[in-house]
Amino acid sequence: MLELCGISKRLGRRSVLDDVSLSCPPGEITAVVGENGAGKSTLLRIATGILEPDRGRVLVGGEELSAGGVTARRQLGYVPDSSEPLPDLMVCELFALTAALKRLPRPGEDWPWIERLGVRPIWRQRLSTLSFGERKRALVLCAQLGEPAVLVLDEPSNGLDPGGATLMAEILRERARAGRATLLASNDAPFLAALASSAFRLGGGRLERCTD
Amino acid sequence: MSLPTVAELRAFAAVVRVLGATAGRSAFVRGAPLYFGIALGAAVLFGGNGMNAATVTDLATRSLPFRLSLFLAWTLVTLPVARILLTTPSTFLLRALPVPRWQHLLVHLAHLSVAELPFVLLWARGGAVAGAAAWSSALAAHGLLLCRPRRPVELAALSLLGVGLGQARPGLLLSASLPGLVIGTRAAWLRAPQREAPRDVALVAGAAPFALGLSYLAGLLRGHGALLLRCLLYTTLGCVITWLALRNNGVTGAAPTAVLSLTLATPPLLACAGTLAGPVLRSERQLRWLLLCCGTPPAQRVIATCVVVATVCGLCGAAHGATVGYLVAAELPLGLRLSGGSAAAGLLLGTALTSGLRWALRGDKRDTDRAFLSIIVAVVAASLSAALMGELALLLWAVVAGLLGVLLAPPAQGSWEQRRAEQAERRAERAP
Repeated sequence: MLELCGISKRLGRRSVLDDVSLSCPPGEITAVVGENGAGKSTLLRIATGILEPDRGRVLVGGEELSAGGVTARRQLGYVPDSSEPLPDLMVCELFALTAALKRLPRPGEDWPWIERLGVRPIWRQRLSTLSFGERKRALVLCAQLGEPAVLVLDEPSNGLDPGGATLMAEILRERARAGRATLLASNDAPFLAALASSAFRLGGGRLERCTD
Repeated sequence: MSLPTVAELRAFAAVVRVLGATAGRSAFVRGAPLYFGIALGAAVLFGGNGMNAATVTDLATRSLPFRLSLFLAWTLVTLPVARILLTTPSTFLLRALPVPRWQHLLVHLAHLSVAELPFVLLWARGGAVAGAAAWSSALAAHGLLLCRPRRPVELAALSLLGVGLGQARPGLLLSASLPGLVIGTRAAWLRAPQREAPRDVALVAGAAPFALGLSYLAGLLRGHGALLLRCLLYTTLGCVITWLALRNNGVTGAAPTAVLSLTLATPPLLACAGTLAGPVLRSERQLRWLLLCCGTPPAQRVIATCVVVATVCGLCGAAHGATVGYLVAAELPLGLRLSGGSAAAGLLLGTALTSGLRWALRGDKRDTDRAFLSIIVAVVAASLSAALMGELALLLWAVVAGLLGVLLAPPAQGSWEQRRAEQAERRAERAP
């Protein structure tokens, strides 16, 4: 499970997160909504250890994430919204690199997720030649390596075709049934309504539980 | 034909400003070290009692191999700058706006002409037609290389340029290259946003530091082939200078030959390291989110970046030593000594400069200043230490490379890297 305790973060003179606490229990899909620029992506990047909070702690499975906690990070998977990791790498190379960095044995090319996520046709293509949706599928595939206990997704339905969005929802539901925690940020209301166990609204640096 | 209105002129001025601020600025950042190096080299070669520019152009007019080598060297060395000017993605949005195509092409041609200026100035010493021919042929070569010619008309223009380069008379070269200039520049501009899917061989495998290093190497091989060619040119230039220095100063004996070879190998090897470290460190920055997410230790990040740059520099160094040994007809032990010394120099200087540039390249406006400073300090310090200490300087460089690797490793919270991440975060949050 993922826990954010009293997280505060200033970016320049603006306070983006002010004493934010959030818990993503196992078997649940926790959603964060908010206007553009509210700080959703910042919250997710802090939750994955990419950005350090000014104050507060992030715990993954009870392990501290800050200060480079490797044990906590091994339980994490992250799907960014718009990152383009090394455009000259092929999808299979990004996959191999992620497996190596996570210190996991690299699954073979018959790994079922490759077929399921529709990555097979683009397996040997450079990331720079893929569409936004195809890149997202490749990033989801890499995040699924090691079937992480906590999966963090930034705008998971963004850029996916209707079939892709349905597949994504199905994958997240399966994760929940398997007792794994998921944290996602999105403004796709129908997608969230069909999925999220609990939703929080981020605004003015504060996080409030959505009642609607 | 009516005169343009004030509104049309204003719109054109806006196009000039936008392309200058996007493609022009990116090309300046990438090309500034290169042009600084060219200016420095030209000052040494042609300044004071040095060579006359007309001597070079006369020799090039008389000798076909020299003319072709000079042309190829210039085309390849400045290809990355031309690529940025014509294919910067941030300029693509402008194509969706109602801006006439000729305005885009005119501004791009003006930018490219500025990029070709040193080459044009060199040839202009041999006459205005020679200068115009150099301008036209360099632009044609860059356009045709960047468009990857496939249509018959493009292949014909490329062939015509080849025929023109074989002619000693500049008027003929000018006529033969003008079709290539028009066709090549237009095709390169039109094809810039196309994303083609080349066939590649998977390179990334193995444990974390190895896989990370191979990822950077794959990026260099696939996206920066021109930079690798530039390294080859620096090495060749270093070999020629070393050979001339050994011959003209009558240097004989193993020890003096080894010292002079090592001293003169350092500037081209550092130029190679500076050329390669930039893209490798940029790749590392692009992967930052994945590296942090997976908890990759800073030591592995440092090792992966340094190993890639140092390996290529080590190979360049080995090639330098072996070529110099061959040119001076050295015995096998001296040849091995020259080759081994230069290879070790490449490995150590590549490692040290990559660490130095990690400090210099922070993604802000002063990157170029800091990179200049790092490279100049490295060239002066390495050359001096090699000249004074001989091969013992390798020990000093090993210590310096180790220290810089440790001291300038990717730092933790509160450091400039974290600040840079926060700046990126601010920009991302402000984006619609």
